[in-house]
Amino acid sequence: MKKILSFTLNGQPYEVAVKPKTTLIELIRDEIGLTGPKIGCNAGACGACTVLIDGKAVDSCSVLALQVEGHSVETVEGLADGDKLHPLQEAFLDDGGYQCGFCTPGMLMAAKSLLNENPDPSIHEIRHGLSGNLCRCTGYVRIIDSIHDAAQRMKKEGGEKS
Amino acid sequence: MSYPAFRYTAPRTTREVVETLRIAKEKGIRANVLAGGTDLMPQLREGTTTPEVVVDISRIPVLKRIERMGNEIRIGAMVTHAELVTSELVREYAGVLSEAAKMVGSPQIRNLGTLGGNVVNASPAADTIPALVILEAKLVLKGPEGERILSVTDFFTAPYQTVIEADELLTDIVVPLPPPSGRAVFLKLARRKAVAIARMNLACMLYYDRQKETFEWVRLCVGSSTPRPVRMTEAEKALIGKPFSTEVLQEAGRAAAEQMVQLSGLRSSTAYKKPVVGDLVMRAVRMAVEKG
Ligand code: FES
Ligand code: FES
Repeated sequence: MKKILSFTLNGQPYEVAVKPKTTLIELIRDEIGLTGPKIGCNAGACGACTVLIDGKAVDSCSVLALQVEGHSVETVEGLADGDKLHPLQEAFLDDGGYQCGFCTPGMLMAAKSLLNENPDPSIHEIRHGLSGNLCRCTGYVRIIDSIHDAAQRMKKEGGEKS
Repeated sequence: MSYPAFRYTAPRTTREVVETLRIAKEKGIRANVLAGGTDLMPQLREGTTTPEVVVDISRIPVLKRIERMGNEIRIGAMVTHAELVTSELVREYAGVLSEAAKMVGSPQIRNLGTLGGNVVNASPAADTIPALVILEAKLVLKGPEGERILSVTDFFTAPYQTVIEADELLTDIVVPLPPPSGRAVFLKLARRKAVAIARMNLACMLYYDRQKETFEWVRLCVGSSTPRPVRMTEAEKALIGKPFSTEVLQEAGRAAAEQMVQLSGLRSSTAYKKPVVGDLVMRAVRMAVEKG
C-alpha cells in the first residue's frame, strides 16, 4: 500500500505516493527522474548514491523513501545556482577531479557535507570525509585536490562578500 | 527492488511502538524496528530479514536526546554515531564512546547509523559495544509491562543474539559517569581502514597512580574476539596493584590472549588473533598511561 510522503528536494516541496519498500535512491531516480545520484553497490559501501538529508551526507540506497518525511534532501542537481556552478563543481572541472564521472555526484555531495561542517578542511580531513566514497578511475589525488581548491575558492568568495 | 513488500508505520511515541510490537507478537506477525537502517536495509535486500511490518522509530524526539541526569548520561537509542562524535557531553564524560563512534563506517554511515541500532543488531564487530562495556553502561528496554534495565554485558548472548523480546524497544543507553581520574583509549584493527567493520577492537580505561606507581583500576574489553562482549578480567587482574613495566604489560597481554582462547575456543583465526589481542592490550594500556 502506497503512502503519501511530503519532503523537500533541492528546495522544492514534493508530495508523492510511495511504496514502503521504495528506497530513497529509487524514489529520486526512478520516480522523480533525477539521475545524478548513482547506484553502485546498493549496499552502503560505495557512496555513489550520496545525497544530503538536512545538510548531512547519507547513502540514499540505505534509506527508505518514507524516512525523509518532513526532511530536506539535496542531490547534485541542486548544487548549481541556475547556470552558475557551485565552487565544488568548478574546482572538479578545473582540477580534473573526475574521469568517467560515475562517482562524481556522490563525491560532490560528500564534499558538500564535509564543507558544511568544516569549511577549511586539511588534506587529512578531506580524505577522512571521503572514506565512504569509491572511485574506480582517478586514484583520488585529484578529487582531494579539487575539494581543497574549492574550499579556498569558497573562502575567497565569502571574503569578497563581507 | 526484489524484496517482498511490508507495511510501514512511524509511531510518534515509544508507547505506540511497544503497542505495535505487542500486537504483532500476539498475532504472529513478523515486525522489525527500523532505526538508522544501516543494518536492516542490507538484510531486507538480501532477504535475510523478511518483515511484514517495519516500525520506523525515527520520529520520536525523546529517542534522540543526550542528557546528563545526575551521575549518568542518558543517550537515546536514535542518537547517531555522528552525534556521538560531536556531542560535548559524550566527549567530556564518555570520550571513549566518541572515539569508538568515530571509527564506525564512513561519514554517510555515521550520519545514519544509531547507537541503539548498533547495540540491538549485536554484531560482534560493532565498535561502540566494547566502549559501552568498559563504561559499564545500562540499557533501558521498554515492553508492554513496563521498563527493565539491564547491564550491557547481560544483554548479549551470542553473535547477533540478545535477550530483547519481540515486543520490547531499546529506548536509552545509560552511561554512569566514569571516575574523572580514568584515562581511556579505543583501538581498532581492520583491513580497509575507514569502512571495514572491525576485525578486532579494544576499549580500555584505567587509572595509574604515579605517586604509588601502581594501576589502581583497569577496565578492558576486546571486541570481535569472543562470542559475546566481556571484560578481559584476567588482564585487568594482571595489572591492578602492579607498576607500569614491560613485564607487567606482557603479563597482561598474555592473560588477555589466554582468556580470549578460553572463551572462544580454538578456531582457525586463533593463530592470528592470539598474539594480536596481547599486542593490542599492551599498546592500549601504554597509551592510556601516557595520557597522564
Ligand atoms: S549505491 Fe549506495 S553506497 Fe553504493
Ligand atoms: S571518475 Fe570514474 S569512478 Fe570516479
